[in-house]
Amino acid sequence: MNDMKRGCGPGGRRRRVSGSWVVLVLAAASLSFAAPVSAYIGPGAGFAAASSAFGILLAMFLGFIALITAPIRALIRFFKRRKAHARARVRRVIVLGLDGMEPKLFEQFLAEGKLPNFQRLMQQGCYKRLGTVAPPLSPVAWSSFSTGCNPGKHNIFDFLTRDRRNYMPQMSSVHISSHRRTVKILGKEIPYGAPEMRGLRRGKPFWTTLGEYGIFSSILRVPITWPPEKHRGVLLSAMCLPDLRGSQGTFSFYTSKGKNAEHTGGEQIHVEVKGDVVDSYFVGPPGRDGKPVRAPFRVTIDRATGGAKLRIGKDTHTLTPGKYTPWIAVEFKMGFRSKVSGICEILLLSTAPHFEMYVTPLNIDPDAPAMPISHPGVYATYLSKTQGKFATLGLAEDTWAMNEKILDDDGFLHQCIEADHEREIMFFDALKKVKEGLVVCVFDGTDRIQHMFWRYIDPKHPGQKGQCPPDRQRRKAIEELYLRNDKLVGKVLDQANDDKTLLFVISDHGFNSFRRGIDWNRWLIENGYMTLKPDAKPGAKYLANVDWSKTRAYCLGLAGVWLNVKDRESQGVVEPGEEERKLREEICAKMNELKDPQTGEAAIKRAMDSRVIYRGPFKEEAPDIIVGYNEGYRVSWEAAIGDITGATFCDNVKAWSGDHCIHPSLVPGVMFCNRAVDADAPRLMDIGPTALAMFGVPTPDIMDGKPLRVLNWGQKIETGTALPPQRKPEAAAV
Amino acid sequence: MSALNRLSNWLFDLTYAPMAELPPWASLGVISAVIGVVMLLAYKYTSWQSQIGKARDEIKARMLAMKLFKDNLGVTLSAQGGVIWSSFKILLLSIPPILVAMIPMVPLLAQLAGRYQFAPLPTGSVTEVKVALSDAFAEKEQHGETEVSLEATDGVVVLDRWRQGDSRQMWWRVRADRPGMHTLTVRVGDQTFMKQLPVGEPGSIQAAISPKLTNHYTGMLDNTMMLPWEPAPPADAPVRSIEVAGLMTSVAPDVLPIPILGNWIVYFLVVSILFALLFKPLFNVRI
Repeated sequence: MNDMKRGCGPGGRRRRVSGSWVVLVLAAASLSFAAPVSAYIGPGAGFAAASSAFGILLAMFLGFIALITAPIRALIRFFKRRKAHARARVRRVIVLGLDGMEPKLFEQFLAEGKLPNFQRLMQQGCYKRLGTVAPPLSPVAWSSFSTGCNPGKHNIFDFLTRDRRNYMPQMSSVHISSHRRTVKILGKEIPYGAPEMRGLRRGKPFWTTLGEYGIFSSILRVPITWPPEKHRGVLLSAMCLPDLRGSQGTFSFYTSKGKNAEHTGGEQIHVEVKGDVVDSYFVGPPGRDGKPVRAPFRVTIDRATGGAKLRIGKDTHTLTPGKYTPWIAVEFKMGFRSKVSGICEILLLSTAPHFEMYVTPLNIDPDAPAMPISHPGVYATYLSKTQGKFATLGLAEDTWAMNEKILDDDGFLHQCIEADHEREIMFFDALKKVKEGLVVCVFDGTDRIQHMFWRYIDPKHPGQKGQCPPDRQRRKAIEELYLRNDKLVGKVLDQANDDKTLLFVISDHGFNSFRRGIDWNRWLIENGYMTLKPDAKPGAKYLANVDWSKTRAYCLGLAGVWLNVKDRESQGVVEPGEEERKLREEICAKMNELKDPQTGEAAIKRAMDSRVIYRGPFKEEAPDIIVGYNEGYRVSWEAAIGDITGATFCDNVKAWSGDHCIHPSLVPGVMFCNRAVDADAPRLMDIGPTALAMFGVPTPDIMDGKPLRVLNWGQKIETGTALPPQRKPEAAAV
Repeated sequence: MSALNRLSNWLFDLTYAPMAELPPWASLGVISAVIGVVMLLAYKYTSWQSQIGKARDEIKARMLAMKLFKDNLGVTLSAQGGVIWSSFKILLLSIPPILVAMIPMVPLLAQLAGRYQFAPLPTGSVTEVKVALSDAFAEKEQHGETEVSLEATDGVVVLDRWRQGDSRQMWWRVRADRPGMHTLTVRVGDQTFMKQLPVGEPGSIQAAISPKLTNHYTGMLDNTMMLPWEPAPPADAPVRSIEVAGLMTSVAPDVLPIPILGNWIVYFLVVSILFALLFKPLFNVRI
């Protein structure tokens, strides 16, 4: 990974800073010997001097205001918190989320003595497996964490849902409308205002409840927090936050070899190398005419070094083969005096014999966000000014580019490590700033790396071969990930080593292998639940070939199967009520019998009727059947987007080789606490109520989660043990 | 230094020539705007832009920290300290460009002062001319060993002479009868020293004007550089300075009725900073 490191390491910066001080001291010395000049010395320097003085004065003024208003604000806080204050057992609760941390792997590395800090945390407090939700997907699980509710109350059941009007997939967590309000001027419709962005997750996050009691929260990158909601504190949104183009992440691959083409999650742009020059463009958000706005760039290849210079606007950046650039700002002109800024990292893959360059999805620039990505809006700017630009895209690590073999192991791993590093800086800044209140930060690297590198720890995985050259393979990526997490936990533990701080380290689910995909739509056809049109074209996505008048069930998304219910779906045929219920039971029963013809194994642990497993006002919005897969199985890539293949089962040969969308009892998460917790089967949705209870705030009635019994600092459970329980807790919602 | 002054005069006269007919507020406006933009570019290329940018980001981050974490007094005070420190860093980082900018700005300001700080003596007005002698010659003059007199070219009449206060100073009253650039000649024994005296309406004299000529060095910049268009008396000359009262004016009080903007240096400051700020985003300069 050394060659993947960015150009400006901390060491380099330190050297430059020390150089700067030499120059500054010399300059100061020379000025002190100069004759006094009562002259104006140029607008730049004059303005700099004046604004510095202004800055100092302003800081002093603000500090003075802060000092004199501190008692008043403290009084207001006291009154807001008075109800909870007397019952509060801690001053601060820290929740460190390691998305997808797998208990079995953890226990294996722990037994091998590779995780000393986790060991320390266990000895100090406890470790338990944590019950997740059905389906155990990050948006669903983290929404249950945030709201303390089962999915039937928070309305998130999958990444995708379907548009009842046309059976097309749409985001389950957010509604984005490209329509803007218009005003008619001289007969022309002039659009104004921003497109509508509406979060679809329901329920109230527990940090909002804390805020009502005057307790401050710093919430960093918790999935399904976009669009950001107001609360007492700060929040940086995460999963489902789109890129500048409005997609969930579209990479660009520039090549002189192939033609313009579409990749899953990206696009290939053909370029011509004229001499040593490549002229092309970045693809930006849609303009007023609906077509994507472009920002031209020029790459000049240096044949001697194999590197290149990229010029965009007035800036020139050096491209070194196999090495990412730092975040580069790209501006798109949207109209007169209107522009939006995105940021991307660029990886020059080769200059000869073919020019190949990978560009990450254009993240929203946190310095000047084109749409709200934080609460308050300036919080993203604050972070950017504090630590430099950082990835803002919900799914910042480009798994698609690796699946499509544009990125190799190193290229992808770099993104994961950098994203976690950026997260770590903001997390520790939050810990420094919030001495009283709640700090939650979710790290995604655990999830992404296990998704893409599981094939190296599963000898039976069909994707073992052919993903990238052996010398570029990172077979120990997952082990190294757990070791990095151990170091992170050690650093956090150092800051939480007191009786006033409660620390939770949790994962929303575990992980398992994804060897075989199931095309439910093919299975539904074979079992007489779905019929295709006579003129069906092969490879059509989004269920375009389905004859809805003869179809009773269909599959879309990762979680399960929908029934084509009359008066619910636009072309529904299944009568709601008894017929619908019986059909659900019938399909569930058949699914439970499904065996993989290749291995003879049961593919499904248990298919679940969503009307039975969920409670709450939104359970009708869930897929009718939630499929609890057995280990090694998942919905196929094609079925997830409504493409219908020729066989029910297929090998998964993509780099995306690990998954967790199986039966929740097979992928529990983990829970560590720096105090002993007296609970046999804690659940993810119990964490929020526990945090509330530790601050003395009662659990809202709507929450399904219950406060865990957290013992006092240093107190141990008499019959307890520091060793992990081997019992696999059933998912709370199942 | 005199060669540099000649070069400075020549360059400025050349640049100023196309604007000579413009009203003072307009010509100074153009000059200020051009200087603002040029100095902005000079600042960009002589300053450590990345470090200035970093310090600016630190300031903004700390200001935002005060806003975002206002409940935490520790954060507020620490951020306040950070803002002061970063502002101080910017101040230090501005020193190199200040030093560089001083090189062209000092003669430039001297030239501008000559054109815009003073107006000619109004025709028909009476004013005073003060001549300061060196200590040695003042003593000689008091003992009658040396004669000191003031003469003027046609159009200016020397009315009378007197002494007051300091024995080294001699005063004359003169009357400006005719417009034009006149010359006052101070004769001390067999040595003569000349000082120009402009007479006429404001803007009617197309030459630099200064009220005082001196060899009283308090620093190189006070005299040789700041008054480049009239040769100063040598250091050992019997005359230390010749000063004409009543020449002070402002750039365009009628056009810019705002009192402070009537002062040429303030006007210059405002216009040059305004243009520098206007062009700052275009040239991507961090100040």
